[in-house]
Amino acid sequence: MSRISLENVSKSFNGVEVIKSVSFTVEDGEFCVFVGPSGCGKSTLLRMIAGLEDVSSGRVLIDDEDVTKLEPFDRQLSMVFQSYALYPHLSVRQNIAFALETAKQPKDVIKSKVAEAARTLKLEAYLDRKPSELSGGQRQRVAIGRAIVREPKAFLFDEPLSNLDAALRGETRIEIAALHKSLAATMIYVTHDQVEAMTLADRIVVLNKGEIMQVGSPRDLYERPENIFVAQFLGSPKMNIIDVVGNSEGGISLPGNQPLDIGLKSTENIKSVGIRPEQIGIATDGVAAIKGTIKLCEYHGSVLSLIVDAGPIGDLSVLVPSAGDVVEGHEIRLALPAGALHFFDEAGHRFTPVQQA
Amino acid sequence: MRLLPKQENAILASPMVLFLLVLLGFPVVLSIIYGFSEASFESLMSPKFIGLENFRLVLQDSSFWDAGWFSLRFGVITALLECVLGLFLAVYLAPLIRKHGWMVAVLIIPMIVAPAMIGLMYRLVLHEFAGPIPYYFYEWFGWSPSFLSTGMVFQTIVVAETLQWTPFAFLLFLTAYQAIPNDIREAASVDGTRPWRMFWKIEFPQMLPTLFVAGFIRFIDGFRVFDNIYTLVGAGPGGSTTSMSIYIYETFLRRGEIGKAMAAAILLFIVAFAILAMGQRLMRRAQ
Amino acid sequence: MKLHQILRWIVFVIAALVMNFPVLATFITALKSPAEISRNPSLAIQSPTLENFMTVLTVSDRLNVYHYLWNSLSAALIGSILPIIVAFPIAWAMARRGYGRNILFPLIVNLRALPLVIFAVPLYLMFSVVNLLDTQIGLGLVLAIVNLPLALMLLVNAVSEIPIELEEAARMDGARLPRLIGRIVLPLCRPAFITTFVFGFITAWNEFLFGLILTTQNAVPMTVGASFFFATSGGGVQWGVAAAVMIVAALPPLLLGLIMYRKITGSMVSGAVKG
Ligand SMILES: Nc1ncnc2c1ncn2[C@@H]1O[C@H](COP(=O)(O)OP(=O)(O)OP(=O)(O)O)[C@@H](O)[C@H]1O
Ligand SMILES: [Mg+2]
Repeated sequence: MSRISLENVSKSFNGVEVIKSVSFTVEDGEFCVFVGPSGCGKSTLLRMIAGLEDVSSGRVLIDDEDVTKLEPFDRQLSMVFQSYALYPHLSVRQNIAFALETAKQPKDVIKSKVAEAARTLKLEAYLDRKPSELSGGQRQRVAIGRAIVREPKAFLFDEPLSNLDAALRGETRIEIAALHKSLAATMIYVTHDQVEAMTLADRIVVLNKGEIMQVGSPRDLYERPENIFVAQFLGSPKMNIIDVVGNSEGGISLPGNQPLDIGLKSTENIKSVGIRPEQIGIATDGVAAIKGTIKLCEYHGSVLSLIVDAGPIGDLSVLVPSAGDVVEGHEIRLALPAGALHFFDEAGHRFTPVQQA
Repeated sequence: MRLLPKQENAILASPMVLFLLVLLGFPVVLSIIYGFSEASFESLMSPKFIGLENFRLVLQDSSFWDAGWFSLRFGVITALLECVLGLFLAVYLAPLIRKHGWMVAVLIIPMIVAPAMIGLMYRLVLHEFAGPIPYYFYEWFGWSPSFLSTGMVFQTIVVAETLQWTPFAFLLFLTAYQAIPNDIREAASVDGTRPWRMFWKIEFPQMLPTLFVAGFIRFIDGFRVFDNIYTLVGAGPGGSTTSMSIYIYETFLRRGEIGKAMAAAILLFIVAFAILAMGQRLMRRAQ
Repeated sequence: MKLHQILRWIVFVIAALVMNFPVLATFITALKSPAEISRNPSLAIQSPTLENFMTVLTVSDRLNVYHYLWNSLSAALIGSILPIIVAFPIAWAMARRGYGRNILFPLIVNLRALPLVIFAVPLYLMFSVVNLLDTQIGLGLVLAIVNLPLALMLLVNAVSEIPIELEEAARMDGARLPRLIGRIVLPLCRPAFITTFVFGFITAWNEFLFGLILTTQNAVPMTVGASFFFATSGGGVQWGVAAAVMIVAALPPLLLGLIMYRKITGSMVSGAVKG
């Protein structure tokens, strides 16, 4: 297995730069997920690694070997496409064996490898069918089977689950995770679904408009987002961001001149604070609180998702246990615990203030 | 060996390019040589260069102009008739055809029969003793026109051509008509649009590009007509049905004036290319 | 409502009868005995007979229909298969790499609209030099030129309609160009090959002008042979036999066309509209 590095990779389509000097490394055996909003360049980046798309500038390295100029068939990577791209005129068996036959492997080797892949993916009963005679989930598994028989240097997935229904998607996600464990293979996986990203990834690469916003483990990204974009992209409902201003006492105030206790000494560069909906509490009496009106209350089973109109602060989303008695139109008092706050500077970058002594 | 995409493309293109060079490039060179030379079947291998003489001959030949005028008239008239009839049949029969697809097969039979055969068949059908058409004229009216006489032959071949190729226009219109999304029609009929108005205001504008395409193709085909006229009447009484194609054929094979035939072919090529370029530009603008 | 429906049927029947009239009348005449033809030119046949067809299908000095049929068949096969072979590789390059899209493609497609007689004369001269006059191969080659434009258009369309992911998947699976084209693109284009072939075969079989100019005896195709039959028999045309010859000549493309009519109607329309 192998590590894959990108060095200052850029890509332009007709003069429009859609990937802007991206560099990072996927380590050997790592499960790396690209996420980002639609059109941010995830597929393009993946296809450049695959060799299906030329690189405008920069280098792609596999195991420290420069493959930038190599054709896809010389890179020894496997790819699972969103549309599965099964060869419609070939049987499942022939689909899975295609790459091995291309590589002119001996007949008996091909046979045993196909049999093994079919067993792993529970496809034995369908080997002689054509792709059109399979269900969506089975097609998906054939596509994966086609990728794994080759024992490639790395696997590339481009939104492989997006054509499946919700139940099957969950199931297949778990199967892919298991596959990663058993093969210990390098995998790069593109999705716009943050649940997939969070659950599958060793490391997530968040992209926006062709640039890397942050690279890190799911926990890093969720708990220490580097910027407002990442902070808001992960988590549902998304993180509340409130603009703040420094006040005369050296602290900061929320809009409407409500001072906010953040338990910090230096507050100079803080331009906004963020807090996740589930970390906003309902204030008990006597605590400094934000007053608001419940505009909307959605019942989600274990939790209630609220939109609270907090006057000058604007709307806040809040998650509370569904046990509480909250009613639309009622007043509510919210508390923002100092420990749960994220701070951002002028440019929207994370800002780590000096702790109070 | 590793090939660059450019080299691969060249390899992929080579059969076609070779084919074209041999079967078209060579003739083009020959056309040019013979177009500017004097040659007959006896002196085929030793053409004598005479400059623009052939072109002068052709341009001064009144039959050349007659042939051009004939082809133009024939092309325009048949294209118009075929489009009108084809459009009517397509729109009027579309509801039936939706249920009975085989009707299309019945209506396109004439297109699958060789035009040359159709010409021969009309010889039989119009024959004054053996042909059913004159027979029925006599039965019903006690009189029959002589279809292939100088006065009538043009109308006869126009009808023959139109009846054979109306199916083509019909087919294009039918496809275009069926491609109009049904919800447009449904929306209009919910708004209370009557069928006649529906056709002119909603369906016809949608089929307008197809009308241009069909008319243009039929015009081109009518303009270059040869087979059916040739097998039915040859050049016609007194050369009255000499189309451009027939003119060149006769000049070449009948009269053996190779240089002149070639010059006429070159002129026809230039005109055809001009018409083609113009038609395509118009069509692009219409779309 | 009901009345309209009936009117539509009436229009259909009239259109079918009128447009197919020459074919129908010829077919009926072919079933008449010579005696009946001179007595009764009407369509109401009195005593149908296969006599004329027997005459046509029997070899005689005057008429060997098998010779013509064989010539037509061999030339039409060359004329319909060769364009596919020649056009398919470049069709892939045109569809996938935009190769030759600006010059070669429009050039070839426009050939379709040129009067064929323009090529007839120089081809005659060329064939007389290379000894291809009056040969089935020569005629087949020329018919291949006639069919080339449509073949190219249909095949470029067919390749463009293959989802690009399939080719990308094959490239990821290690396939280089020959295998990519041979194992993936070619099999997926099979329906297009069939349509192109059927269409080309019918066109080639029905072609007349080149047969007339480029053949004299050995390679005369059916269409031209049938017209000879009229010409040589002068005043005393045996109408029944003549009619039977025409039916025999028209039958192969007609059968092929009617079996495959769904396919050829579709490709005729796409060929027309994209051109
Ligand atoms: N072949 C192309 N030609 C021109 N522009 C392209 C091409 N492919 C992609 N783009 C542009 O590049 C940008 C990135 O596209 P890409 O497909 O990588 O997005 P993505 O992140 O995969 O989006 P999605 O989640 O919708 O799949 C888009 O703005 C897209 O319009
Ligand atoms: Mg994508």
